[in-house]
Amino acid sequence: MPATGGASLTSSTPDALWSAPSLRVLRPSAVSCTDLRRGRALDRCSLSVPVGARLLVVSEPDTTASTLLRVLAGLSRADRGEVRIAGSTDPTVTGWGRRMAYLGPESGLHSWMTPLEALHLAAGLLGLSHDERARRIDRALRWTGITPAMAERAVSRGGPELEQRTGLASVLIAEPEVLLLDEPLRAIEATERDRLLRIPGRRLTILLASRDPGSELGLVAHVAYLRNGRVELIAPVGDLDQAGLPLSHAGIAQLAALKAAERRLRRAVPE
Amino acid sequence: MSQTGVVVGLAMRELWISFRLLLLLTGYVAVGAAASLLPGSLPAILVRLAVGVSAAMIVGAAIAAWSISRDRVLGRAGWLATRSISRGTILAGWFVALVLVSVLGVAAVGLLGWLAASTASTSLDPVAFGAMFGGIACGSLALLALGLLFGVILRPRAATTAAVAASALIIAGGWFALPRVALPVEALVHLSRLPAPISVAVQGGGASLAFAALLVLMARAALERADL
Repeated sequence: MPATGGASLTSSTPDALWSAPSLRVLRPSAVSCTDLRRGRALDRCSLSVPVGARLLVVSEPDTTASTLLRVLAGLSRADRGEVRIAGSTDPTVTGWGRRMAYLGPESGLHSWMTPLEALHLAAGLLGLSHDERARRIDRALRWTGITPAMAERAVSRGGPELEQRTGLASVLIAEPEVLLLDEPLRAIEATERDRLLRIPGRRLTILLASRDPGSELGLVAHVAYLRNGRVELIAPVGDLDQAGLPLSHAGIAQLAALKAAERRLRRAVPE
Repeated sequence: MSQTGVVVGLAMRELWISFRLLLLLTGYVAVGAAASLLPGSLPAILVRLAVGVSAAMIVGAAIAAWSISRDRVLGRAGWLATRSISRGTILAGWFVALVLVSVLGVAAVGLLGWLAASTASTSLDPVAFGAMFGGIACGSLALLALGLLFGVILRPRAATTAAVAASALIIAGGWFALPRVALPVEALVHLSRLPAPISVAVQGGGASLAFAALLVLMARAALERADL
């Protein structure tokens, strides 16, 4: 996929409107959830992610971040609460169904499929025209580094790396506005993984759940920390640098504790 | 192609490549072949057919449970769901694919069984025999739906075990514990002695279809809450 890939992302909002100064100030929410509850994993979890944000989601325990992304993607059901993606609460095709994409640790592909088959299937389900289908498949294959020879080989024969590249390609083909990445592409070498996950697009919102935050350096601009099923912190990654903390699980937890202490102090000593 | 068609196609190919389609078809055909190749009287042939078909139906339930549960666990159902294919469509696709294979299998065993039975006795009514196998096909649908229900709720091994146990219990219970209720497979054994075999077959088939519909609805409701 060329570097201009994000410019052609589908949206009901015209490009000119997205560029309008008023919207840049308002930063409309791409993903928001309110009072989500699911078993012990999520407890009145509320989060709002503006359009174009690249957010790293880290949690204690580790599984909570994945659970949140799965709930947002509609793969797991919340006991309570509301999910709103791209302004809609409707997960069907007429709502946010085709504006959001999810890539988890498992690609979800049949092992007998070739990357080309998987991409044609994904494109077919989007109802794309023949030309548009060919264009998007070509871009997705180029971005994910799947050569023509690899594209004709069953994913089981290409190993987990080909499977994960194909999984990413099948996600990118939808040109989503919101991309939910749950521990993605772990089978791929770090530098190449880093390149693959630098998906262009100013309006593309990415939520990335990770148990190894250090490996996501440079991929995200903000970090969210969930503890006991709730969001404790949302902060720019730069705040970690300012506090002299590393982009690690412990560092983020420490930053959350520091911010909480600051909030308590502000409440105790009113200006 | 419709979304259900896409899921049916994927399910069929998955069944074919994993040899589950062959296992199910071979199960039914082996029963028919055993009935037609082994010598015996008409009652003996009918008992053989009934027991064999029951076993093949249990295998079908196990395959249904394993298939959909594995699809859930491996994220394949999730892959489809995140592409705006509803959970109901995923379930319907698997059900249709399994039904197609099972009905083909029941038709094959019915044909082979008829060849064996008609050789052993010339008094057997072909319409009654066909109606009985129609009822059996409906019964196989009910057990497939039962398998899908377990597959939606449980993980693959547990779902398969539960589907086998529950299917065996239903067949054995219906056969031995409820003498006034004739399951289609049980009625097949008594086919030559039944006063109104077509009526029994239609009743059994209808009851099986109603049971299948109820189980599919339950599976649908369970899948709506399940993790994909």
